[in-house]
Order: sequence, then C-alpha cells, then structure tokens
Amino acid sequence: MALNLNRPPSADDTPPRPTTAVPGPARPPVSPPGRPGSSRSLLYAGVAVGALVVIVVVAGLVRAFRSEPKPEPGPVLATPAPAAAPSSGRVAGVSDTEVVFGMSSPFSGAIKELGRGMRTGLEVAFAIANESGGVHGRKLRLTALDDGYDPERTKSVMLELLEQRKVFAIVGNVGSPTAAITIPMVMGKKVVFFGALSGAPLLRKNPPDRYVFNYRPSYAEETAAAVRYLVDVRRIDPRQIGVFYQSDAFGEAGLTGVEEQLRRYRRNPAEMVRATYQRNSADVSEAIARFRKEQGKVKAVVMVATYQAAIQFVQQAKDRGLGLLFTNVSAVGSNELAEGLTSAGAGYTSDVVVTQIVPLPTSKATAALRYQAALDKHAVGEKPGFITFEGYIVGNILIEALRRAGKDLDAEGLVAAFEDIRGLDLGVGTPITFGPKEHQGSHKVWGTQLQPDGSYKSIDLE
Amino acid sequence: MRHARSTRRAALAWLGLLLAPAAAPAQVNGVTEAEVLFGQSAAFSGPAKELGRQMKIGIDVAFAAQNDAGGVNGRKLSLLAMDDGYEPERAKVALRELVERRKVFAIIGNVGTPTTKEVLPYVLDKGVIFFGAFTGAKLLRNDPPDRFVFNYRASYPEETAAQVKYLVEVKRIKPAQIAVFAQEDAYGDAGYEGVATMMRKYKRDPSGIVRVGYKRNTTDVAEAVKVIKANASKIRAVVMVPTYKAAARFVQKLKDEGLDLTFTSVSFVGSNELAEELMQLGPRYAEGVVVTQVVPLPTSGATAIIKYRQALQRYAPAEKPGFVSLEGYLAANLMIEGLRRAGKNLNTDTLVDALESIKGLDVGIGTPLTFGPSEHQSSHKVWGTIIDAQGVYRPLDLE
Repeated sequence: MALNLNRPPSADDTPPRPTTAVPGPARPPVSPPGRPGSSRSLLYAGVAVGALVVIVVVAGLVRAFRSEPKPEPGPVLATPAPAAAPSSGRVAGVSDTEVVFGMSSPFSGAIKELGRGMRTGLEVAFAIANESGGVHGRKLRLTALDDGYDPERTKSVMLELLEQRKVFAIVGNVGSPTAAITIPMVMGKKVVFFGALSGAPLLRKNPPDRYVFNYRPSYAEETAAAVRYLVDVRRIDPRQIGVFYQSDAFGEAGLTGVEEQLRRYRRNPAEMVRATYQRNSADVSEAIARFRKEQGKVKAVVMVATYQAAIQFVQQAKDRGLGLLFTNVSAVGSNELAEGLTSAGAGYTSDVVVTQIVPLPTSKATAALRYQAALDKHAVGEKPGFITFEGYIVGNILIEALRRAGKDLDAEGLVAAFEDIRGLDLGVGTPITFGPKEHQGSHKVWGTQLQPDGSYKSIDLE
Repeated sequence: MRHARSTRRAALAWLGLLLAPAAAPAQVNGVTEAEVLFGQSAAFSGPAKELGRQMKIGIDVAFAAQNDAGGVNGRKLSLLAMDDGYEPERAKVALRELVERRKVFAIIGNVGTPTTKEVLPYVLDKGVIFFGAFTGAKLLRNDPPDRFVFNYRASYPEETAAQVKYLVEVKRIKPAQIAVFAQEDAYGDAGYEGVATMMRKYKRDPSGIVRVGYKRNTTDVAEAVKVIKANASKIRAVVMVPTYKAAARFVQKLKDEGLDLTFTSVSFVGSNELAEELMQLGPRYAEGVVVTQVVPLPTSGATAIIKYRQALQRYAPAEKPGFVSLEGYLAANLMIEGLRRAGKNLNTDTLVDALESIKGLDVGIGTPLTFGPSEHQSSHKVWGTIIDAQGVYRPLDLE
C-alpha cells in the first residue's frame, strides 16, 4: 500500500510485462548470465529502496533481503524515483488488474481426475471472488498445465510456468513425487507454493520452507488416524494390520504414519505385512499375492494408493475372499474410487473407509453450501466431490491471504499475509492457522465409509 | 405494516442473497415490522409431555420479559407451539404445518432425538433455522455443523462421558461394571454411543456392555430389569438414557429387587419430574440418583438464574423453577442476543451471521457461550447433580 504513493496513474492498467523488460530507457539490462531472475531482484532493489521509508517493517525487511546480492545498485538508484517507478507490473504475474497463478498437475493419465478436480475447485473459488471485483481490484487467473503425474514432465512444466508464463505463485499442484521436483525450483525462485494435493513430509519440513504452505494434513496424520480407528474403534489387533502403498514419496509418506502409530501401540513395524505397486500403474498382482499368503493373519489394510490401483486392489482382494477391511488416504480420489467400485458390481463397496481432509462436500454446513452454490453457478453439471471441495477451500484461503497482503502484492508480502492467518474459521469444522513455524493450515482428519450407492457416510474415527 | 407472505424458501433466499447481494430485502416468513413468529414442535401429551411444556414455559417467559422491554428491534417475539406427542411421524406433520402453513420464521426448542431425526432433513432442505432443541444427539452436531442448526446445550456424548468418568474415577467402579439402560431409538443410541466411546478410552471392548432398554412412550421395563438382575453380580452402576416415567419405574424395580446400584441419567430425563416420580414412591428410591445437567441449578443464586426465577414468577407464577424450563429460558435468551445482533434487517442469513458472531458471551451461568462458522453448540459444560432424601437436587462434583 505504501508503494502506491510512488505509482504513476498511467501505469495502473498496464498488463503484466515480461519481467526482464525494463520500464524505462534509463535502465540497462543487468541480468548476469546463469542467474535467472536476478534482474528481477535488481528491479526490486530499486523499488524497495525507493519506497523503504514507508514500507511496512516486516515486508520491507524481507524485500531488502531479496536484493541481497546487489552488485550494481547504482544504475537502478540513478533512476528518478518518484517519476519513473511504475511499481505495479514489476512482480511476475501481478498487474493492477490481474494476478496469475500457475498449476502443474495431471490432466492426463492414471490420476487425471485429481488434477481436474483441484483445478475446478480453484477456478470456481476464483470465479466467485472475481464476480465481486477480484481482490484489491485484481482478477484471479489460473494457468494450469498437464504434467501427467510424471516428475520429469513436472520439471519442464514448472519451468514454463515460472520462466515463460511468469506466474505469481503456484497453487494446487497434485502429487508428492512431482513435488519433490517442484520444491527446489520454487524455493530457488522465491515463489510461493500453496495448497498442493499432497500430504508428503517434503512439503512439511520443520521449520517449514518459507515459500511452501499447505492447507491439508499430512499423509502420516491420515494413516495414523486410520490405524487408531482400526485398533480402537474396530478392535483389530495392531499385528493384523498390513500396508499397501505406492512405491515412491507418496506411499512412503503414508507408510511412515502407520509405522509411527504401530510403535505407539508398542508393536514392531518391521513385522508388518507390506506390499507396493508402481506409480501410474494399476498392476497389483504382486501385492495381492503377498496378502494371499497372509490370508487370515491380516484383517485390515491401510492403503496409500491412487484410485486406479486402489480399485484394482480392493476388487481383487474381494474376488479372492481375503476378508479385509480397507482404509484409504484422501489423495486416493474418493469419488473416483467410489465410481470404480460401484461399477465393479455388488459387494465391492463394503468395508471401504477413506480418511478425508475436507468435510463431506454434500453436507449442509455453511462452507459446503457456499461451495455447492459456487459449483452450480460456475461449473454447471459438476457434482460435489472431495477433490473439488479441497481445491475450493485452498482457493478461498489463498484469497484470504491475498486480501491481507494488500494492494502492494509480492511474494514476500504474501508469505507475511499467510503467516498472519490465525484461527480463520471458514466453516469447514476446524480453524485455519498459519504462522512462521506453522505452514500447514489444518490438522483435521474426518472419517468416511463408502456406501453401496457410491456415496460416503461420516464415521467417527475415535 | 404487514408484509405479504412469501412462499419463497429460505434456502433459496439465502442463495439469492449470496448471488445477488444488492437485491431488495425479501419478504421473510414470520417477520413483520411488529413481530417475529417462532415455531416449536414438542411433546405436550403422553409420558414425556412435561418436557415440551417446560421448554415452552422457559421460552415463553424469556420472550415475555423481552417483549415487556420493547421486544427486539421493535418487534415482539411470539411462539407457536404444536404437540407432536414425542412421536416422529407427528413431528413431521407438525413441522410442515409450522413452516408451510403458519410460516414461522424459525424453529426453537423442539424436544427429542427421534422426532428431530425425522424432521431434520426437511428443515435443512427448507433452510429454516432450527435452534436450541432439547436434545444432545449428534445428528444435530455434524462436523462441520449444518448451517441452519444451532444448539445451546452440551451433547449426550459429553454428558455420558462425564457420567462414566465420574463412576470410574470418583466412585471407583470398573468400566466393565457399568451397564446402560437406554430408550430403544435414536435417543438411546446416542447416549449408548457416548458410553461406548468412553469404554474405548478405558481400553474396554464396548461390545461387552450390558445394554437394556424400553420402547419410547412406554414404561415397560420388565425385560430390562430381568437382564440387569441376571447380571447383578458384575454390575455396579447403570447409565440411563430414558425419559422420567420409564426411568422412575426402572429404578424402583431394581431397588425393590434389593440391588445396590448407582444410577446416573442424562439431562433429557426431565430431572424435576424424575425426582417427583421417585419421591412419590418413597425417599429411598430418589436418594442418590445422579443426573448430569446442561444448565446450572435452577435454584442457584447466580445472576442469570435469579433473573430466570423473576421472569418465571412474573409471567408463569404457578410454575416452580426447573431444569427444563431454565434450558428453554437460556436458549431463548441466546436467540434474543442473535436477533439483537442481526438488527432490523432480519432474515435467516442475517440471523445465522449474527449467531455466529457470538463469542464468549457471559450470561452468568458459569460458562461462556460461543458460536462460530465451525461451532454451532454454544455450551460444552456439564454439571453434576444428585437427588437427596428430600427429593432435592444437590450439586455433585463430577471429577
């Protein structure tokens, strides 16, 4: 807001220009080779130094940090500050009329529905905000690109979003193995990365990475809740619990939660029956063979899988009469799982539990009603579902942070705004809280059980 | 000036508000310049009729006191009550009548879990506020809460948890020695579930709980008594989830059998009616029965309770202070606070927002009342009481 004082009115409607472009003839391109983005930093230095006097203390300090490598501040400072400091448009993806967010997610392949769901939820949340003028006069846009849930493709997609498309921040990315590629990139670029559909620990470091924020609980929180449910509520001996998981960062994140909870029950996780499958495949034959060997000894399986593999696993386990109780993490894609199992035939929906990190999308809670109304209006024909609801909630938390960040928007200001959110009650059943040491908004896990008609019913996990 | 009655559903009005914030204020059911009309469906006949009657008295006197002070934002508050006899089917008919024919603004002070279970989908579909029901069932306490449902009181799981904890930690009774006597419907199930949850916390298998019951609106407890008697050697306490007539009969029969049991009950039993019924049989039946409460003692000297007794004396002089009418009174006053905050432009959405803005409201009952978008139950406090040889409720420390 302070920077507005220096902004000439003529710059107000300028669309975002490529950040390497320099707004005045007085500024030479100063980007040293091999240091992408540093020219932007220098421009920042100019803006920041020019306005430092009036800048909010924290944001100002952080901005000063951004200009830390200041080899040649001279030419920038030489520019007549008040006359030629069109501060708006200088932040990638931010103009006076628009903020552009990027998303790298699967829109093809084995879990494309997860990408589509997150995007739909986000777009609907953005559309509602845009209807009433956007945030601080800026409309919110989403540039979503397909990475096919393939880490190699994620890399090029992220490069495109950050380098060519010049998005302001990344929101709603789907996947853990893909996040392993993304995180170093956004950290290096100092780009905010929010609301990924992933409960992996690499997004939840302690202390948290400055630019990484999550809405959802971790996979370990979900699988620990599942184990407690199996043991305390369903009265299954911890020794009779097995694990079926994707053999990568996603599956291992969930596995960790099971192991930790078993230790709390004073059981040795090493003795647990475990089986895996490969990402982007639905070949579960080895896993099924493993559990067949333990028939009778294993009574429940905690699954850390995506929907196609999960459907196959449940279906084949039931076909072979393994008599198992199944739990799934939210990232399975609950609605896709339900569709797959109901269309497989009668009986496949029994004994399937899914932990959720959003409330029932069909409920009559205020947040759910608003979401349903938003879907009706902006995604006609889209039925309420868990993933779109997650995208919608993520979108709304982002909107709240943008609101708090003020008119003068940049990554540092957005970080400060996120960390300022305490006990935000969106009506989702749990307050959303961030802070310098807490970059995960929610720790709440709900229980649901699949019904024969493909719907989900709330169950008590405790 | 009386607005023409709108047939528009409140839910649609809410959506309309969301989508077209600039629209002119819609005509709101039950709201005129001079009045706000509330509806109540409860038992005014049958073996639970005192529960409905007492809730209504509490709401009526709170409304009367407020109306004497000018109402809320110039509007007088009135209550239209219908008898559902504590029968789910009749409750459904009564609700339709209230909402569609009588066009009430909101529902307040309904009594009962099985009745609520039947009407709730209808209420939610219509988008009508369902406030301060006399039930602690979980179906009114979804997580997150349903937009149109607000509770004043603590839940049954909170009450039964407090009882089991008291029995185990204060009375030193083993969890395995606790049985449950519960009405055979959604009410009894809700209470039983609370006990089962506590058993799991004490690392007991809830399937081992001896559960006995009776049919709603009957006092047929013979089978329940028989089963408890057959298990007498391993039972030392019974958590009861009944209404007063069945509870009194159950306690009487078991005491006549010479069994030395500790009886506890949830607040819905109708505490004053239970004490009266038991005292009619003789002090030895009444003495020592524990009841958890969701309001303070109606005879207490606390500010809120003195005001309640003054209102009762003024507007219902024939009525004695009691737990259920106090609950009705407190729920009504919470509604009044919501109406006040909603302001002159009263509709379902302004009232929901107003109620959700109530934080830490101290009305002088010993616990602050708080609502929010994710919290539609204002109080989580449970008080312990025990009947003495005179049939009077005394405070009982539950911890």
